[in-house]
Amino acid sequence: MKRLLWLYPRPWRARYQAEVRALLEATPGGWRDALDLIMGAIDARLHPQTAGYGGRRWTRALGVVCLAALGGLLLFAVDFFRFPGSGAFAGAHFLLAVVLSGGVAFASRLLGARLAAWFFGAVALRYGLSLVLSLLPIMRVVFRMVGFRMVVLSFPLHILVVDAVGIALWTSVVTLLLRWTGVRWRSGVAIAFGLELLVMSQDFWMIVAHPISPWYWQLVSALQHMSGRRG
Amino acid sequence: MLILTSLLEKPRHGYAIVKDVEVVAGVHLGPGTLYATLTRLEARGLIEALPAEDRRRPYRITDAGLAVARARLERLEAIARTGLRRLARV
Repeated sequence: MKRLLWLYPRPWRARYQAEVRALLEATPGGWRDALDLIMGAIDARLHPQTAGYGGRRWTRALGVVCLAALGGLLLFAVDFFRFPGSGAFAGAHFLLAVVLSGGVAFASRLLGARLAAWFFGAVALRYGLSLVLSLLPIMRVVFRMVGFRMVVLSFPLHILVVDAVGIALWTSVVTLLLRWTGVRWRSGVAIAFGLELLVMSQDFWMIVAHPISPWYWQLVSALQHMSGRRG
Repeated sequence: MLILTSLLEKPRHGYAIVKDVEVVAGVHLGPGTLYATLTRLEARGLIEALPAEDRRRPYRITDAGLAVARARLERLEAIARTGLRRLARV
């Protein structure tokens, strides 16, 4: 269980690791304590300011860029082996992850972490909502009616400009809504980051959902057909 | 609140806090929860760390922590008193 302490930020470990190790040696922990440690690590990473060891905003933004780019790279690999002929599709995933996180980094640099978080949250919510809606069969009809394409599930390069406009509009609306509701920006970052990871891992969900949810696969095929890709 | 109550008696390190809370409240504090809370309490100036003994570092409640603990315990006491009074009428 002591190995779980490596999940904590380095400054946190410098301050607390020795005493936590002593505690773990004194108390034989079960799976609940292990889970508790993992949750504590997530908390420590989400709230570094509470202990006064928060890194610089630019450093954190750079970390987001690296993490998102790594996620995009993994998606590229998964897509390549799953669909050998879909290089452009997988490449778009990678591009999307880098552009998104790069945008956050530069927004953080120029506007401050708070505004960057709103931007990031709005964009990620856009993709997150798309993913959630895609799981509802009824939304197929709505998609066809309003022409609301799945930006992530169906991402041919030639509609990038159209999608960019859609994302900009969506971002503006959701940013205003989030500000109006007064959601704390730290919570926004946590939610947005989780959603982005969820969306970036959608290929994984497609593979998992395939054997148990034929309708989901049909939906993916329909969306691919609508956007001109082979089903 | 459980941790502040534990430290009201005397300075304690992590393991001693866990054991005391188990006895007093019947609640098991996981290591992640314990140190997340200690981190916050320390950052807010409600407790302070004493020099480490071996690898164990005791924590002591501060004057600000005493004030917060007193206010919250009095509030809890008022709620408990009201609840018990109403329960007696049932």
